[in-house]
Amino acid sequence: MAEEKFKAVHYLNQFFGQIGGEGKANTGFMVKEGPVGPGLALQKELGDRAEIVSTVICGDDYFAANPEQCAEEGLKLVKPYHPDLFFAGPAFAAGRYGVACGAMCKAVAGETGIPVITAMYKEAPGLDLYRKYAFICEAPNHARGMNEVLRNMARLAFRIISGEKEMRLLTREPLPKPEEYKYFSRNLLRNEYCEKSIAERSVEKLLAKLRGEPFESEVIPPKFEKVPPPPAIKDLSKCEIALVSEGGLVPKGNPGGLSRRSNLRWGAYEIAPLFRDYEVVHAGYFNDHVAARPDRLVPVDVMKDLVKEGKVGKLHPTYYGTCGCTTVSKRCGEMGDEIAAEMKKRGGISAVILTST
Amino acid sequence: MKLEIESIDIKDIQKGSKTYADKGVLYINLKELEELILKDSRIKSVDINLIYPGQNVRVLNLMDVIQPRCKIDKIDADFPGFIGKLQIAGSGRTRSLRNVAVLVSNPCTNRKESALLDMAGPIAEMSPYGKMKNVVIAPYVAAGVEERDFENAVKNAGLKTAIYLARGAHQHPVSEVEVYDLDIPNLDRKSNLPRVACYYQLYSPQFDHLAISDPCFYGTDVRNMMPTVIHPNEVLDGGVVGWLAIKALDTYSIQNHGVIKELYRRHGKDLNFVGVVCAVANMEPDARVRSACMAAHQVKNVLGADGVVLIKITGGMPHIDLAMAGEECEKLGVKTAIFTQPLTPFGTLADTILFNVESLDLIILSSATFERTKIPWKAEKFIGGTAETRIFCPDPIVQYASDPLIDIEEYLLPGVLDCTGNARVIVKEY
Amino acid sequence: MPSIAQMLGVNRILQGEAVPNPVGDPSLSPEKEKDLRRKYILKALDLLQRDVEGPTVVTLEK
Repeated sequence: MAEEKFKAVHYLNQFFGQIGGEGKANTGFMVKEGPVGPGLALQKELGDRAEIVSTVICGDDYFAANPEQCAEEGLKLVKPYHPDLFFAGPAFAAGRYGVACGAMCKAVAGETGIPVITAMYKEAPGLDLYRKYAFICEAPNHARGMNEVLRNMARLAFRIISGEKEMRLLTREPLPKPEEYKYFSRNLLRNEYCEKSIAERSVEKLLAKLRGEPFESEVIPPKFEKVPPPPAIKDLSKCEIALVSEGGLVPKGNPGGLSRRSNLRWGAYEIAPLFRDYEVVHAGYFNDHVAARPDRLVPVDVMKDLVKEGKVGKLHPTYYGTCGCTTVSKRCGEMGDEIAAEMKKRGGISAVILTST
Repeated sequence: MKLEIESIDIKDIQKGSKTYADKGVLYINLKELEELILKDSRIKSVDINLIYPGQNVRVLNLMDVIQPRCKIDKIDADFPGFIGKLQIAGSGRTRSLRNVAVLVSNPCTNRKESALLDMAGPIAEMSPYGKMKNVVIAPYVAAGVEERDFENAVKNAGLKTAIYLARGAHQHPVSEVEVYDLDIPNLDRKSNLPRVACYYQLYSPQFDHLAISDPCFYGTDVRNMMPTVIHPNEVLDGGVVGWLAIKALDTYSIQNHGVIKELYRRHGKDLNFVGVVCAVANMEPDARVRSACMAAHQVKNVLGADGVVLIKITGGMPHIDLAMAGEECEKLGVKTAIFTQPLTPFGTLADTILFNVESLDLIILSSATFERTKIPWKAEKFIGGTAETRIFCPDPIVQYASDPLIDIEEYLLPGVLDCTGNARVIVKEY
Repeated sequence: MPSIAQMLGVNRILQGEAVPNPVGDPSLSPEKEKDLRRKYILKALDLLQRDVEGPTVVTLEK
C-alpha cells in the first residue's frame, strides 16, 4: 500500500515568518505557500512523509491584542488546506508568540481534531495555558536549539498520526510517553503497566525509609497557597447570607447537566422552586437522607427562621450548587472563583455558608 | 499459627459423571453441583457453565471471583462464618486449585454498576481470569425472596462451588506447598530486622446497596467495626471475602492478598512481619478519629511495629480515614507507606491526593480505579445476562452488552486493578 | 471532612454532622433535627463574626 504524504500547515510570527522584527509585530495575518524560515528545516525533518503546504504568519502584537478572536481568524486560513498536521513555532521562551502558538493549536485541534504540535521553554507563559490542548515539545530558552526541537516535533507528529497504541497503558490509547518524546505532560493521568507490583513497591520503599536510606514517594503533595482570611462580619442582622453546596442538590431534571461523578459544572438555582421540585446528583455519598429532606444539606429552614427572628438580615434567594465527587481540584477552584464573581455581580452578599458532604 | 496451602495446577476442566481430578484435568459432575446449590431455597434455578480462554463469551453481572479452596484437615471449616462453622481461619492445611476460578454472576441484580469479564479480546488480555478455565454460576431468584437476601444466597452458592471443586481434586498430586508460619506479634523474636505491620482497610460504607452493608468478615458486615488486630493467615484462608460487588476487589485477590504475601516473602530476611490491623472507612468524624487513634495504638503498642503499610479500599472518602490513621502512626513514631488512588483522569498526581500531611512522605500509587477504557470487541454469547443487559458507564453513555464497543471503568473488570496490591500498575502523567 | 478544607487553606471550617447529612440527623425526630441544624448554623454564623488568623476548624459542642 503506497504511503500517502501528509499535508501540514505551519504557524509562525512576523520574525520567523520573515516579515520583520518588533517593528512589524502588529502585522495582521498572511499566508505564504510552502515552508518559510524554520519551516524549511522542519520540512527537512518531515522528509518525504509530510509536506508543509502553507505557512500562516501573524504579528505577535496583533495576536496578543485578542488571542481568542485571532485564533478564529487564523483557523479560517488553515482550514482550506485540509491539513493532516499542524505545527506552530517553536516559540522558545517568548511570551506573546508562545500564547499565539498555543491558541492556534487549540483552535485547530478543536475544529479539526488533527495532531497539533508546538514547542516552548518550560517557563513560557503559554505552557500552562495550553498544555492540555496541544502537544508542546520541550525547547530551550534560546533559538540556538532550533534544529533539535524541530526534529523532535516531527518525530512526535509521526508518532501521533500513526495511531500506534501505547501498549504500556491499560487503555491502549495512542498516547506517546512524554519522557520518550520530550513533550510536556498534558495534565492527563493514566494507569500504566509496570514491572513491580504495587505491593512490591510499597514494601521495598518502606524498607528504605525504615533503614534511613533515600526513598522516592510516588506522589509529591502540592504546597497550597494561604488565603488571607476576610475580616469578621460586624452586624449579622444587617447581612445577606448566601448558601452554597457541593452535595449535588439540583432542580428536578438536572437542567444544568451536573454529572454524578467527575463533574465540572455549577448552577445558580432559585431556592423556592428548587425546594418544591429537586433531585440529588452525587455518586460519592448515600443521597437518600438529603433527598428526603434537602435542608440537611442546604439549611434553608433554619436560615429563614433566623431572618424572621431578625438575627440575620437576609437569605440570598439564589443557592449555588455543584457536585464535588471525584473531580479535579483545579476546576473546583475555578468554579469557586466563578461563583464568587457571580455573587459580586449580584451584589449585597456579605458571607457564604458552604456545606460539604 | 501455621497454614499450609497445597496448590494443584489444573490444566483443563470438563463435565464428568463424577467430580474428580486426574492428570491435571478437573472433571465436574454438573448435576451434583447444581443440586448442592439448589439446596438453598432462596435459589429457584441455576445456570452452570464451563468457559475457556479464547471463547467469545461475555460474563455479565459479576458479583465475585473465587479461587477453589477447601480445608484438608478440618471439617466444616471452609470460609468460616460464611459457610463453615465460625472459627478462626488460617491454620492447618488448605487445598487450592490454580488456573481455575469460580465466577459468580447475579443475573437478577438491581445494582446499576456491575462487573463483567470477556474470555477473549482486550478484557481477557488485561485480566488474569481471562486466562483461566472458569466455572460460572448464575443463580435465579425464587419467588418472594428479598433482593439483599438473594444476594447473600448467590454469594454463598459461589463459596460452596469453590469448596466443592477443591474437594473434588482430593486425590490429585500437589504441585506446590506454600507455608505461612508466623506467630504474631513476634515479640520474643530476637532480631535486628525492622518490625512491619499492615493496616488493612477492609471496607467503606459509601457503596452500601439499599443502605445495607455487605458481609465480608467471618460472615458478618463490618460497618461500624473498630480497628481489630488479626493474623494475616485469616485473610489468606477464608476469613475475609470480597463484597457483593466487584470494585477493584474480589475474593480471589483477597485469597492471594498482594501486600500480605509480599510481607511474608520478606519475613525473616528484610523485615519481621508482625501482624495486621484491619479497619474500615467511616462517615462520621468522631468515628474516623476514634478509628485512627485506635489503629495507630494497636500498630505501635500491641504489634510493636516500626513501620506500617496502609492499604486503601476503593473510593474517595477512604483516603481520609487512611490518612488520619497514617498521621497517628507517624505521631507515635511508626514510619508509614500509604496508598492513594487518583480519582480522575485529569490533572497532575499532586492534584489527586486528598490529604496533605508533612509526615506522610511516602505515598504509593495504587492505580486509578475509575479510569475508563474502551473495549472494541463484540461479544456473541452472554452468561449471567443477555445482549440487552445495560453496561454501566457514567452519564451520558448508554450501552448494552452486545455493543461492538463499550466504555467501561476499570474497577468493574475483575483482576485488572486490585486493592490488595497485586496489580503491576502505576499511574503516570501524560 | 475538615482536613481537606484545612489543607486547601479554607479559613473558617465547621465540622459537620456526617457525610450523607452535613447539617442534619435522620435518626432524630424532625423537631429535634431542626434544633440540631439551628445549632450548626448559629455556630457557623458565630465563626463568620470572629476574626481568624488562618485555617480554623471548630466543632459543635452537643
